Amino acid sequence: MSKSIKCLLFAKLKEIFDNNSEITITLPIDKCTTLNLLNEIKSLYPKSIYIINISLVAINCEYIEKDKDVIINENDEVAIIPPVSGG
Amino acid sequence: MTIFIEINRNEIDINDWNRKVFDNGAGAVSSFIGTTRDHFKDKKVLKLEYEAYEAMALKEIEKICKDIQNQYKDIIHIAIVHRIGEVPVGEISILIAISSSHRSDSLKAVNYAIDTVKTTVPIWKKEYYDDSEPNWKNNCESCHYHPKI
Repeated sequence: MSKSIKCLLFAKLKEIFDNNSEITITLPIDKCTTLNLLNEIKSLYPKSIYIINISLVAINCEYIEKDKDVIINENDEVAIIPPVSGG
Repeated sequence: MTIFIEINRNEIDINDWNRKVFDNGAGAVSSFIGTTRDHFKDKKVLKLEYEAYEAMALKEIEKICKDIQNQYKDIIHIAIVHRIGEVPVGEISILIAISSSHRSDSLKAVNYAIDTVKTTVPIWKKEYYDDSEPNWKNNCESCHYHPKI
């Protein structure tokens, strides 16, 4: 069994994905976690590796601490947040 | 205490935004205005383009306002507006205005607010130059480079 996870993309990361504001990644249902998600994106899209490595994941608009493996639940809004540059 | 937060594509009206925090009990209104600089090192900058993860950016700005309420007891009102989309040279990308009964807390709170916006709020800017490819910027303050969120 596997599950599709929609991931919101922004800024440089969005550009790497031809300006698509989201991608869908499929993970085995028992492996739906933030670290597995990042690893899967990196292995499918090597061009994203350098930026993924410096990005954080947000679930439902809350940052997940770097390198922390958090379970992604059904209907969670998942976003990958490159280093910010507001202001 | 009232908190005004906006993220939009409109030009920021200095008077309008500073006035939002005026109060008869306030002896001070402190503000910070961020503008597009015309150069980066030796490159000529033509414009900045901002993008936001709006739902989360609003939430992070609300957290900053709550932190200010908790840290600085003398604060009356807070207004924070960030412009997104294209911001030409010389125009305003962000305005923070904070009022307090006495000046000390609002001055400190404004400094805390802009530093923290640059650290945690998911907004990004792309810098456009006259003679080279545009570049997505990273704030050196970004929480991505500092482990504690």
